[in-house]
Amino acid sequence: MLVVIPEVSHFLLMMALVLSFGQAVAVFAPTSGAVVRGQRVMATGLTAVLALSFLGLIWSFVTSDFSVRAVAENSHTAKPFLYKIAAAWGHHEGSLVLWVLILALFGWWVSRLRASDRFMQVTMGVQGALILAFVALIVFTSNPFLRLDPVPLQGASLNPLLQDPSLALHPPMLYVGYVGFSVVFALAVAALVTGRADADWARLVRPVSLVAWSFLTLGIGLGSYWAYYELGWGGWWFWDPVENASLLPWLSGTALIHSLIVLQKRGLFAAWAVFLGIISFCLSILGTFLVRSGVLTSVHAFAMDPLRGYAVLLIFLLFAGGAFALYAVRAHRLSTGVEAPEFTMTSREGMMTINTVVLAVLTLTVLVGTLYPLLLEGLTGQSISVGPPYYNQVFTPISALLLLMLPVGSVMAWRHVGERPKRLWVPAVVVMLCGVLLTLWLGVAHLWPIAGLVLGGWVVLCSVIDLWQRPVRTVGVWGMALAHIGVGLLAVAAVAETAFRDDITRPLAIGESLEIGPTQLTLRRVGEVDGENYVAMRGQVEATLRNGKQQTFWPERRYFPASAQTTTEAAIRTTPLGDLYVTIAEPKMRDGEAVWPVRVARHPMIPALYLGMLLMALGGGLAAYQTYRRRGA
Amino acid sequence: MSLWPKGRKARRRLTIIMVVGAALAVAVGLALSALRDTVVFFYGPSEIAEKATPGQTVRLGGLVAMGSVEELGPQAVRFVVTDQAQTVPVEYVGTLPDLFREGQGVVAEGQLTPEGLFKAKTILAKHDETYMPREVKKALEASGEWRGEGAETSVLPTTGKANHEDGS
Repeated sequence: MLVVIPEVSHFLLMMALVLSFGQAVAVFAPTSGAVVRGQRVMATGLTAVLALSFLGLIWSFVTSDFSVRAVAENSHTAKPFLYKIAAAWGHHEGSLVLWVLILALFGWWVSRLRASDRFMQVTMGVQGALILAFVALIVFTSNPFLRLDPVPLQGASLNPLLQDPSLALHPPMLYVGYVGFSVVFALAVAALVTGRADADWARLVRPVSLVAWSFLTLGIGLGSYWAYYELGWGGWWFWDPVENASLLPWLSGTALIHSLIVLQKRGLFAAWAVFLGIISFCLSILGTFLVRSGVLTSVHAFAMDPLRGYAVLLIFLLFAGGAFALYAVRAHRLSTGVEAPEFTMTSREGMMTINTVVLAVLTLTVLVGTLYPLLLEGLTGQSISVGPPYYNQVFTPISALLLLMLPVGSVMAWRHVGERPKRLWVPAVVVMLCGVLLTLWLGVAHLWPIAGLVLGGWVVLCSVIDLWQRPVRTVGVWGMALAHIGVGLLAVAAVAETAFRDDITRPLAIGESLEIGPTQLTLRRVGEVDGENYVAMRGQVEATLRNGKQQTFWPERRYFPASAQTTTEAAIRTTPLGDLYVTIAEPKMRDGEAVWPVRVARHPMIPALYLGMLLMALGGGLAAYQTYRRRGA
Repeated sequence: MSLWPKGRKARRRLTIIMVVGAALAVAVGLALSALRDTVVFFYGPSEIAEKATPGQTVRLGGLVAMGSVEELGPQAVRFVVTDQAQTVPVEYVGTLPDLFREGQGVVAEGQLTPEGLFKAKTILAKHDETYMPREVKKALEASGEWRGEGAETSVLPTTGKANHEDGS
């Protein structure tokens, strides 16, 4: 019986196609409670059907059923159990199944909201149409349940670089983020159709956009962490086009969650919030297209069939085009339920609105940098790449402006500055003083990075003080404060890491040493160790730290016979102030003696960097909880 | 001023449009000027000699010629990048990425010396060893040597190499 699981799973996908079609076309039926109830049933059915289908896929991977092509191409019997499961979404077809499953889960969640029949009908209809589009993409271009004949005896295994716990979790997290914005998109379209985007609408949208944003933060963070320790390029962000693809919806999503607050509290700028909701999901699909079509040259690029890329592009054009056409016709008629509320720029809502505009501008500059090479190549045939220098020139000053404004906005009152802003000059003086001390210590040559550190410190300090001074500290207040502290920490760490990291590479024979800063490292031994599905060359590097303490590093090079690939495993020692990072390369001969190139790098503030991202995600989660609880009240 | 609208709502709308317009204009100006200064051009071995000025940072993409990788020291390496029509000698100091192989696609970022030697600062790594960088594919297509995805990429050591041997 179990033999037919792939066929059953494939059939379940077909059922999903029918159900989502029904849920989508129901939008054209005359509105009634019965239609909405029908859509709810279909949304629940879709979730069940897609969950079972996904379980079927996981089953094929866990049992290493190599008659299924996706399994044969991406799995191997000798792979650790966890990675057999993770391989189910470690490739194009399977990751799409996970994508639609998450889409259906969010669709199920949205189907349980309470709102007017017309509103629910449109929302679920849009969600159904999205599921329909992506299930059709799977069924017609990327069927994961295709059989192979003859059945291979062994699979080709998952790329060993991807056999890593943080990368096993990276795609699901990222998808929850991307797909979470689909709900925002559906709710935004429903707002346009019904003509209402009021405080109640903002209350519906806020929890899900916060959840999506938090997971996106986690997904980006995990990807960055993986690139940092597994790829071993000595950095955490490379302005790689695919990294940018995930940053784009994150930036517009950040603008979205702030504009929703302004809409909910003050009934202002409904059209702007709706626009940000639509664009965030469009950027999510655009990101998916860029990653999967192979139009980008990137470390992430998969060798991929361009047909699928164009199918995703078609989906993008259909939904983005449709939504923006609707927006153009209906946006000016959106009612917020508040008649011409007062508005001054020197208020909290004023600062938050400026913040959303600046974030949108930031999104635009990243979009320009990401798409410009494609555009130029399409027009002139000349290949170019836009790298870190561009983003340093453009992204850095604009985000510095954001950091400068953040605390100012937080201390302002709603509506008006009734009193003088709270005492911001105390933290301002403190961080300036720190800046002066740092300049004296490190020298004027480092003025720019020090300015960055001061700005980050300014955000952290002001957020802590603000939290301290609050008379009532609700979950939501904690969420906001933690997220803002996270932003500041991230800024401080990013500046410190970029400006002050250093590294040294030297070929070492056994017993030889190298020095980095106050630390001396000696290569003691190189041996061989066996892993579950690899053999590794492992170096033993003894470090003598400043305080005379000894520490041993075990950097490895792992060879995976199944895919004939080698990976570098860095040995990392983490302290609160930074990481010491050791890698070893293939031996070479020098005067008849074997030497191993050992690379040692110091990465300051790396823990603060990832702590900052974690705090942002946690803060977003707390705020989501608060807004969700408050929804009914 | 009669141009300044009377109604509160209209006035706010105008203010906002002006603020957003100014922000967008500044951003686009900043982005375009930064693009002009920071864009890195990509060339195949056949184009690089005529199109890249020595000292300018560019990317070079092609295949690593078979048998061309030689170590100049424990850290420095020299190899030849080819599109089957032309070749460019490349020198690189540092650790090569795990997926660097003879006969496979490579993208190097660096500068061309007046003698025609490419001094690479970075060799770009990639995820997947079967993946051919799109630009490399393009360079091969441009020289008429692209044999399609999955075709055997046997890269013979080519004669052009000898011309550059004295480049160091």
